[in-house]
Amino acid sequence: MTKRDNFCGRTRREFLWQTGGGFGAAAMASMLGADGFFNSAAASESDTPFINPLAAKPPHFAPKAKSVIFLFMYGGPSHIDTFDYKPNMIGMDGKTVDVKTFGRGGHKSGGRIVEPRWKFKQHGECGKWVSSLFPNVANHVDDIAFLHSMTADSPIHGSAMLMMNSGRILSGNPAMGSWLTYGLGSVNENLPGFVVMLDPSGGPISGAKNWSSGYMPATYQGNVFRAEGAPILDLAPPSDLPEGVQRQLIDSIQKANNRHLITRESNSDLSSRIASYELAYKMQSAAPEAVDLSSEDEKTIAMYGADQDKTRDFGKRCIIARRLVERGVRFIQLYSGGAHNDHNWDAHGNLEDNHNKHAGATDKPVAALLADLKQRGMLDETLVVWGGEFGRQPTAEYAEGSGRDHNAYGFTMFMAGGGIKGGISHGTTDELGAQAAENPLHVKNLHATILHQMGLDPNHLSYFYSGLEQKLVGVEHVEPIHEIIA
Amino acid sequence: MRDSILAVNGSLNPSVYGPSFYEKLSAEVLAGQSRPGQGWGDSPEEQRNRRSIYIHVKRSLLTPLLTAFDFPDPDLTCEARFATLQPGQALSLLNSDFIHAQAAKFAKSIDAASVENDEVVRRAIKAAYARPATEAEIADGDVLIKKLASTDGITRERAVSLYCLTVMNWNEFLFVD
Repeated sequence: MTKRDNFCGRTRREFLWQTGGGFGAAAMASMLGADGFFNSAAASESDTPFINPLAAKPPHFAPKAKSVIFLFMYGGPSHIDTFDYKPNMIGMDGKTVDVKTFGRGGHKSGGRIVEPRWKFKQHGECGKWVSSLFPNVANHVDDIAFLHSMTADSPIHGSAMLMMNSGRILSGNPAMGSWLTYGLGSVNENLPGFVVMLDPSGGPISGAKNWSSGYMPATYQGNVFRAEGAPILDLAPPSDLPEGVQRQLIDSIQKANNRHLITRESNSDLSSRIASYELAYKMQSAAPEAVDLSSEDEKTIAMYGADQDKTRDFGKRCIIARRLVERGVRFIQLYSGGAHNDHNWDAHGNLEDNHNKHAGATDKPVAALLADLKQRGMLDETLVVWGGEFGRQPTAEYAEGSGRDHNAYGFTMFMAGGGIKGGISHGTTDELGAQAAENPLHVKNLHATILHQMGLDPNHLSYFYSGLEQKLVGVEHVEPIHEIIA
Repeated sequence: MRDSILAVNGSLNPSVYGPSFYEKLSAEVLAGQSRPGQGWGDSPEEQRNRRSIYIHVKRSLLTPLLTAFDFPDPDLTCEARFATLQPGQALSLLNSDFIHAQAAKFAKSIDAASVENDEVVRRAIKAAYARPATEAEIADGDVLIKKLASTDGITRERAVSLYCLTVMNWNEFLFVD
């Protein structure tokens, strides 16, 4: 079943492309192949006899990180109220300024300043200014690289989410987690390589498009794990079936399959499908074990705040994220915030209420995750990424109130662990945080950095679709952020 | 795959044209939406028994059974359908609400409750594969149904329905020679 039975085992475009560019391409491929390029890029789904498509594959070069935990602050946290300190704005509240902004309210050329609503203090040996929204994360600034000059192509949630997750503002492209599992496979064959855990209030805008594998096979799509009950859809048999029945059913199926196989040994798909049932059976014990926190001691539960109402949900999911990393899952994405309006960081109304709520729910768990990974010696090989799809404007959205509109011209994200330098800040925004100033960064630079730390060359990890070697970072060369790489 | 399941248990509604229908989606699938349940309607069962091409396609809420079996991304042109083999397919054919409901209908359609085990096997295999059952299949089916029916909490009715479920999981069901 993995072979394509058309166009001589190729797609029509591949056929035309290969007959046209065949000889030159063959020479080129062997030259590059000798350099170790294309190792995983060439692992096309069309010709390989089935093993497990998620079997671990070698990276392009020695990786610094083995897993990524992406803490997605959906809705767009305000950078100037969290990590991007703007002392010159103090005392400017209510003043009208000329500043170019672009959000859901369209293009504006000025507005009323909303002074950052939280006090900043210096933390750590690096002396990083952090607002009082993140008192716990502030203790870890010496392990964190802040990216203050992030920019994105869209200031609108739907397209900006797709950009942060898949590199493009249009839907249909594989998510970053799909690229990583395509490039590297999964170390643990009993668990998916790409796991998404949603906020209890709901998914982000466009739902499953944010973890879709796009033009790649569904094998690489994100798997939504739930923190309660059976973590994966259809993982558990109906609840009224006694234990052991599932095994009896599979045994019976396999007996029939083995009989069927005898006269059809040459069809490797048949044995592959037999194997896929055994894998499914193993997942049934591996996945629930991964999300079962009963073996975590009280100290750990308390450290993550998983014993308090405010932080329980995100705390639990952060512990599960660590457990998934321990079990070899490549890419884990946790959403802080879901649904619409103030269920996420989209503070259009009351900035204080919104950010107090969401920072309050995540500060302790995020800090604990960093501390726990470090104390277990896992932080070196685990890349933690924090941020939203964009930031927020320095000016008020409306005549009244502190709500800020979206801002994709400049915002802050941070990375920690996985071979990233700690205690540094890269790039700046202007005095109001309205747009990136020094060393502007694009989402593509962030993606390139993540792939690079995972041992993949962002400019060579490609997938042939629609006549083009598609890449997460696009066809133009993109540099990782070398300044933050240790 | 889905069409074959509906066809063997006799519930396939072959009518053509007309509006698409909404497949039944579980709460955990709808939870992935930013407004769970929005934009997804309800359809009567006879509509749900139509071929899979009539399933309503909402680009951000694809039907998991179709996705597991390589439904192409509706945002892009699909130059060639994938045909992957992965454990998620096995999980949906073993555990989904859909397959258990269809297996029960399958058992009912061959009147499995009122005949002996060997006849259940003969009828199930005839319906699914349009060929007579072999001696080995009859013996295996008999063993499985007996074992299941003697398990606490499983009635014979459920046992024959589970047997029908296994028959629809065979490689022979998916691969045509």
